[in-house]
Amino acid sequence: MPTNIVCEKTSARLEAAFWSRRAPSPADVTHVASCPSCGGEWEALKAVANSLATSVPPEFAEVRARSIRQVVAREFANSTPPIAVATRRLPIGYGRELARILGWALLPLPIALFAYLQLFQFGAALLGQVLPEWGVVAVGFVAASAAASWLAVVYGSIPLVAYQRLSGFDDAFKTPHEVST
Amino acid sequence: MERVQRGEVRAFDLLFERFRARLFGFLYRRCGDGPVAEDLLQETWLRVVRSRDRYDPQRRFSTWLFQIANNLCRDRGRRLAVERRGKRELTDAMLVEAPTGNPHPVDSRLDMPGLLGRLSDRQREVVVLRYFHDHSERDIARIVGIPPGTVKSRLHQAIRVMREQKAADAD
Repeated sequence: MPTNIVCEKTSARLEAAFWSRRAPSPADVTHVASCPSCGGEWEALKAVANSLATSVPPEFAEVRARSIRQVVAREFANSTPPIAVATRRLPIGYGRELARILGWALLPLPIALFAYLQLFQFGAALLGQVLPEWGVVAVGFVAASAAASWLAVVYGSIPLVAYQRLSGFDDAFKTPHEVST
Repeated sequence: MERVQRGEVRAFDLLFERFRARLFGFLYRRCGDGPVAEDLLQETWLRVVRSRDRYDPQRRFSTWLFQIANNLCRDRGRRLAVERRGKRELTDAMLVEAPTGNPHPVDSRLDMPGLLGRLSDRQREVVVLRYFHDHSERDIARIVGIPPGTVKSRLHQAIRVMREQKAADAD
């Protein structure tokens, strides 16, 4: 490889070493030692690095830090968490998981409802032989309410199940302090 | 940060402590003044708190934080430049008849000793982020709001300026 290409590549690597504040590779050190142009370049970069090293921030007084933290904490406490945060907190892919579980849960619903209706009719016919009509209606009402409540509990818990599946069961039972940032 | 978004004050304290020194160092090197850096630090955290609903958890928090801090530094730099220009124009007007056009370009250089003070604001922001805070060029591009290629060229320009400055100082 001609020297100028080697120097060009070395120069780029020296600059990269400068920005990352690390020493150049042994191969580059050898080249720098033997090449006046690259040697001068590295010396110039070292001079710049030495000069930048003098830019040290002053001590950040603990009292001032505490006062800033208090001011910001007050602002933080006074501002209520925005509504958008509640939506943002949902895990990624929550909507898809919810739709998937809901789809599976709705599949057996027509069969379950049909079976329940059959059972209801059978029960009403059976009860009709021993109870007056108003008694059958009352028992039917109670049975229908129980079925509706059961369905509400099962299908109402689906969003929670989807959330727990995505965020992990452990996190769901941890206190907010235990869950990492 | 997600815990901060949920309103946990303790999480905010942890975040503040974790970034306190880094953020202060960044602001000091950007603006070249300790008390101003402290004020900007407070303003940065106030903005973090006020706009926490806009934080996207898929992004790195440090990138977002430094973006806010950098924007505040830029705003301050612009304000200062306008003030300086106003003062100069006023002085000119008092001495001679006001010249036509705008003879004074916006000067964003700082009254700061050392090489950082010799860089333009655009160069200084990328140098401070890259050299002192080890941000990658991609990260810097996000913080500053420019393409990564522009970050690279600004770093290259900055190094040239600093080398020339060092050479001039040596002469």
